[in-house]
Amino acid sequence: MSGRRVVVTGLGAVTPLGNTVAEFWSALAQGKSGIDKIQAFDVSAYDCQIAGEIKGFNPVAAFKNPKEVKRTDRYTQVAMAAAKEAVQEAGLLSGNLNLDRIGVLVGSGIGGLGTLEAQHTVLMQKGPGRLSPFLIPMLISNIASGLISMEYGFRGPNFAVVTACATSGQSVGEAWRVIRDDDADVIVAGGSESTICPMAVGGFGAMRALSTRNDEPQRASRPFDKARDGFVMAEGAGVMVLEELEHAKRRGA
Amino acid sequence: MADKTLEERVKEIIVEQLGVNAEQVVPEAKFIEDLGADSLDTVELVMAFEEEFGVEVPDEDAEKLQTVGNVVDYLRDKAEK
Repeated sequence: MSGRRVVVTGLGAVTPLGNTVAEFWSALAQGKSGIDKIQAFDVSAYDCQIAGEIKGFNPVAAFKNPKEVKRTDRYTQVAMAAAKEAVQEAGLLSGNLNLDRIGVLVGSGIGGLGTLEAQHTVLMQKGPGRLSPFLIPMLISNIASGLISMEYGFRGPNFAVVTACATSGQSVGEAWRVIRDDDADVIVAGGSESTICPMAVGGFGAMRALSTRNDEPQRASRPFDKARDGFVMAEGAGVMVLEELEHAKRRGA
Repeated sequence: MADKTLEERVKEIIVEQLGVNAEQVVPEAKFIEDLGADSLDTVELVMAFEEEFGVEVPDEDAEKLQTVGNVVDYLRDKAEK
């Protein structure tokens, strides 16, 4: 059991620098920044007015059934798109793979906060009778993992790590452990977040945790710098296909 | 501008909510079996009808609305009252 090694056979990313791994990596290697003035809502009342927003993202392409777009928070939509890219690269859709041995572990630090915010407004203004039946399934932090498994029929281990900024990293670690321990041969692992909304920008702002270098968005994120003044929020998803080495070799992945 | 008929308004809501083609939305079409709705879709659909037509649909009535035709008849009945 301890001899089981784990390799990476697929990658997917949706980020403020590009909506595929290739675009993301190319922009990153060129030293570009994805941070700019927030477009998602009117930030004039907020101390922090900058963030890394995804541009030109089309959620419809991420799902087999376009109806799912209406029933998912943006954090799940970007997770689905990154998972699709990773699953395709890994070639998980071709060949006779045992779907009981493929799991999903795509976590989120907060989940569908934008949905909660919008629905809370509905609750206050129109009452509980107008709340969407999709509020809870859109909000919960494990729904990205759940929907990815339903989209592709992966019936292996399925859960979501929720550990703030460590979520994606820990998801990959847990995925490695699940494969090493022989509970699965493949895990679609990673993380997703999309909370550029008033509650999150306001909430992190109240903690004095966000940079207010609003006049220099591209230079605002500077960890360990003497003149650092906070973190800069961004949205995105990163997904890896982790696979047991011999399993990957057998199918020529 | 001519007002849309009740049928047209119902049809538009169904197309929008369930992401189906307008041709599929015929009176005898069942929401779950024919139009691919699940239980949460049907709840949301009824809410959309309530919003559009300014009516209250009690749960016991909502359960009986299984086809497109059921909805059109029900809403017309409500409108006449």
